[in-house]
Amino acid sequence: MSMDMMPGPYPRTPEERAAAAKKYNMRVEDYQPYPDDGLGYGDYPMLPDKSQYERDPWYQWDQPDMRHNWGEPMHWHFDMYIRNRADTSPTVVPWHTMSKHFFIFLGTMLVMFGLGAIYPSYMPVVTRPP
Amino acid sequence: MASAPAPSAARLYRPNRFVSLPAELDPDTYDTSPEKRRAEAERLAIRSQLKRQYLLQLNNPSPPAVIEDPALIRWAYAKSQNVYPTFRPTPKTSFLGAAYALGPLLFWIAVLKAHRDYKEKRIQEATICPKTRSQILSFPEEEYFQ
Repeated sequence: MSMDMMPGPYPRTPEERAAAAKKYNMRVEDYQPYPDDGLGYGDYPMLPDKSQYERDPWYQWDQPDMRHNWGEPMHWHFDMYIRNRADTSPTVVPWHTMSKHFFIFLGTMLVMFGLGAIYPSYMPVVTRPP
Repeated sequence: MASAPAPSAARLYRPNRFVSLPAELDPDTYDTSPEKRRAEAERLAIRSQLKRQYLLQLNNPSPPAVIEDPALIRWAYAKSQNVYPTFRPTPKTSFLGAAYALGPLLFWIAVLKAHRDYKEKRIQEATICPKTRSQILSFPEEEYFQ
C-alpha cells in the first residue's frame, strides 16, 4: 500500500475531503472527519458510535465474527466495539430510567448504612462483673 | 386549552453514548424517500466493488499468503503513527495533558505528605511510638490492636 492510501492530516479544502472520502471507501456525503482540535485524529472518519453487536447477524459479512466487510472503514474504537466487549444495543428500558433506579437505590442503601454506622442500635446488655 | 403534543417515543428514550435508539423508534427506518434510496444504492455500489476485489483475491488459484485489508491497515496506522504528526498544542490539549500527566502525580504527593505529617504529629505528641527495628521486623500487634 502506498503512502497516499494511508491516513493523513485533517482535510481543509473540499477537494481534500473528496479525496479522503474516496481513500476511505466512503461517499463524500457520508464522510465526516473528527473535529480538528489537534487531538491526533487527522482525517480519520467519525463513524456512528455503535458496537458490532448492532450489525445484522444474518448478513453474509466477509468477516462474520467481527461483522466487518473487507475495505469498510473501521471505527476509531473498533477494538472496544467488538462483540466480546462494549455493547451499545438498544435496551428495553431507557438508560436514564435505569440509572435513576440504580442511583436512587444505591444512595438510599448507602445513607441507611451510614446512619446505622454512626448511630448503632443494639439490645441493651449488662456488663459482666469483673 | 390544547396542551403541547406528547413528546415522541424517540425523545422519551433519550439515546446516548452507551445505548442507541431502537430501529423501531427511529424515523429514519420508515423513510423511503428517493434521496435515501439513491444513497443506499451508492453505498451498495461501493460495497460491491470492494467485495469483488476481495473475492478475486480469495478465489485466486494461487492466492496470496495473506489478503491484506486496507481498512485494517489504515486503522492501525491512524491510531499509532498518524497521531503525532496530526497533534498540535491547543488550550484543550494542553489542559488535558496537564490533567492526566501532572494531576495524579500532584494528587499522590499531597496525599502521602499529608498522611506522613499526620503520623509525625502523632509521634511528636507521643500518642503512638515510632517502631523500633525489632517491631518493624516482627508482627506489629500494638498498631493493630490499639
